[in-house]
Amino acid sequence: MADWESALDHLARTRHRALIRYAYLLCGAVREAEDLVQDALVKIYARKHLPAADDAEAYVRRAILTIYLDGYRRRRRWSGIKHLVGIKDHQESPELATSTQVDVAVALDGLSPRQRACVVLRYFEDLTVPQIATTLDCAEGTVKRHLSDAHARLATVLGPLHTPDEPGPAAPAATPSPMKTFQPPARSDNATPRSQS
Amino acid sequence: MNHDLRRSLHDLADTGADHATPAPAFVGSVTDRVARTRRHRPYVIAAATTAGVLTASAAAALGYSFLSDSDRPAFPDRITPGHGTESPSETPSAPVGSVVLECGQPVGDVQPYSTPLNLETELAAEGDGPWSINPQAASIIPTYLTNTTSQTLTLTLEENAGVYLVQDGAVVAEPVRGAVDAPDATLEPDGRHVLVDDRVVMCDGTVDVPAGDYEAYSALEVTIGDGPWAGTDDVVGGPWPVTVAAPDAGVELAELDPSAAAPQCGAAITDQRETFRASTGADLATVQPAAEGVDVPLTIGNPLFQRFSGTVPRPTLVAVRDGVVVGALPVEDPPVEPFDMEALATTETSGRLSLLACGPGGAAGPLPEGRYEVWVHQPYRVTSRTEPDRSGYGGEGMRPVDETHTIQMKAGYVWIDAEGASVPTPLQAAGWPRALDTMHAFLNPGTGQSVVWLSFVEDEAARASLRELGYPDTPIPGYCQPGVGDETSFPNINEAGIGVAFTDPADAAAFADLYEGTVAAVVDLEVYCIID
Repeated sequence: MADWESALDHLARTRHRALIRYAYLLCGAVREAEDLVQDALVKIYARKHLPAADDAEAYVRRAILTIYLDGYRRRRRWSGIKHLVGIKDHQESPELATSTQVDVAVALDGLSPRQRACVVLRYFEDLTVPQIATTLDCAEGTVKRHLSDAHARLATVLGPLHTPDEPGPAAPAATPSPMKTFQPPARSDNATPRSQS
Repeated sequence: MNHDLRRSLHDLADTGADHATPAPAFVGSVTDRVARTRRHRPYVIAAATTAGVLTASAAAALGYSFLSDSDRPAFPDRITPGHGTESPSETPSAPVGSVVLECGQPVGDVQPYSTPLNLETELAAEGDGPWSINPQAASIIPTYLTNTTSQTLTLTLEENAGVYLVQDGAVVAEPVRGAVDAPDATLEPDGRHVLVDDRVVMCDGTVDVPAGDYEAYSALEVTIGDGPWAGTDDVVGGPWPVTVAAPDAGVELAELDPSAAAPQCGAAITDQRETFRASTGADLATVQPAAEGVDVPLTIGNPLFQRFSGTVPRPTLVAVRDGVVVGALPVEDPPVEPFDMEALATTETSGRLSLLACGPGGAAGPLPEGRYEVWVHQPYRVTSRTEPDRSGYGGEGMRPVDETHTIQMKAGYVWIDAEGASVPTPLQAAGWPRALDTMHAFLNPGTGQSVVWLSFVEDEAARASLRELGYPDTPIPGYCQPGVGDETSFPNINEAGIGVAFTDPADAAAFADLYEGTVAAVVDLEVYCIID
């Protein structure tokens, strides 16, 4: 077995599930996720010079993200206007089991590719803002803006968001419980107790 | 309770992975792919590199070998039936007859004589004639010179091809000689040079040529620069049987012919865009009727995740009314060329548009006054393609097929006036600006610089008002104008609104001033359907 083949075999077998999970969150479809992972592996292991074993997964993940972002630009030119130009292209997600999963999938679909990438890198890959900026080759302010915009869009579908490592929304100021301000209706002189009807 | 996004993402990711191909099968598949890739590396790298550069201008370099206008030779290489029936003359010979072409003079007993150049007409491709001609058209009789020798000839044209009309043996109409646009030409053996006509007037000075049957000749003076044929000659072609239709009779538009197939005359024509798309950014009002057709620039796009290759003729454009082809096809048959279309690629080409009415014998004269749709027709013979690949690289492994994929779709509108000329729409004549075709804006990032938004949702009333005005009513997704969400209250840029795209913000402003309905916003940003 050639060097590339043994290296590829090892990475693909041991990290298959992890790579599919990552790609699936980026693109939202199982078959497309498999294509992304496969294309990334081909891109890395078809090279003349292979990455070191410890670095291989990082290279592959980077390639998955790049292919997703680059390919999405071209796909979206057509897929986004397919209903306008008569292309039939259904993307079904039979794998989604719960309504929450459907909500999350729908919410992610409402993000732009870079917003989605930032969300996945932040809350799934647990990268910091500076690390995301390096990965996407953009400024930290840009990452923060993408995350802020993404939060706003996700919240419209999922409601207020809470992420354990970041402060949640400020607790609302204490207001009197509605029960404390409830005033029973004034008793009418015409009211007749039931027992007396 | 607030939504725990981190937990949701992990849960969703697990669900996706649970439904993926098991690792052993997946690994086997990817290993095979890498092995093939490593064996054919130069090809894949080249494809990947070019596939990553997908702008309309760069797409022309993506291996699509269909000729663009800039690549097109100056002298189209056309096949005319009947050409080459005589062996090229290798040595000059004295004329054995003569023809006099002078107003009022009898033509004489015309005998053929050999010269190194033949003057022939494209009309011969339509059969024996008589052929219907329009003396008012820009090209009365499409003609060309052919080099009948085995040597390259250097020519200087002293004049354009002049058309002479003969009735009862005498010349009754002659050309009004004008400046030669392209006086110099070099012709390879069997090469052709397309000629331009001068105007025609009757010998009595009147401009209108009466209806009737004529014999037509074409003649011009040509100087050959060198070689054994050096010198100046009159080159004459004809006689050709022609008919001039009565101008007040009007041309009857072709009726539906169930036996005809689009884009033939009388055929029903319907939208077909099973694979490729076509659009034009050209102002069709500038295209004037011509039997040989006028080039109209087109953008062709492949919206699929597949690569296709095969052969395809140059696109044809025809005038249509009420779903029936009523416009003549260009005189020449479009040449067939190989093509190779990458996944999601676009390329630039051009098609010929005649804008004459069609009839049983070809062009029947000018189109009657009114509005016509212009449709594009181009049949692709696909001989190999890849399987769909959503990565965008079009998959691997071209496999042989034998399929036909036809573009047949509307490219725009023309207005024909009472003289048969193409004119701006009445709205444009009244000052309304010309809109950018929506499909063309999508296929050509950056050609649109402004959008007048009537609605940020797909509002049917707004669409209807655009249709009534003759403007494109295709919904425009919000992400097709990056930044519109920041500039306006567009609720969801992933959905479409109703608007009109313009190449120039000044046009957008002019439209907004004239439009009497509600304008949601005028946004002067690029139309560019790619989200970043």
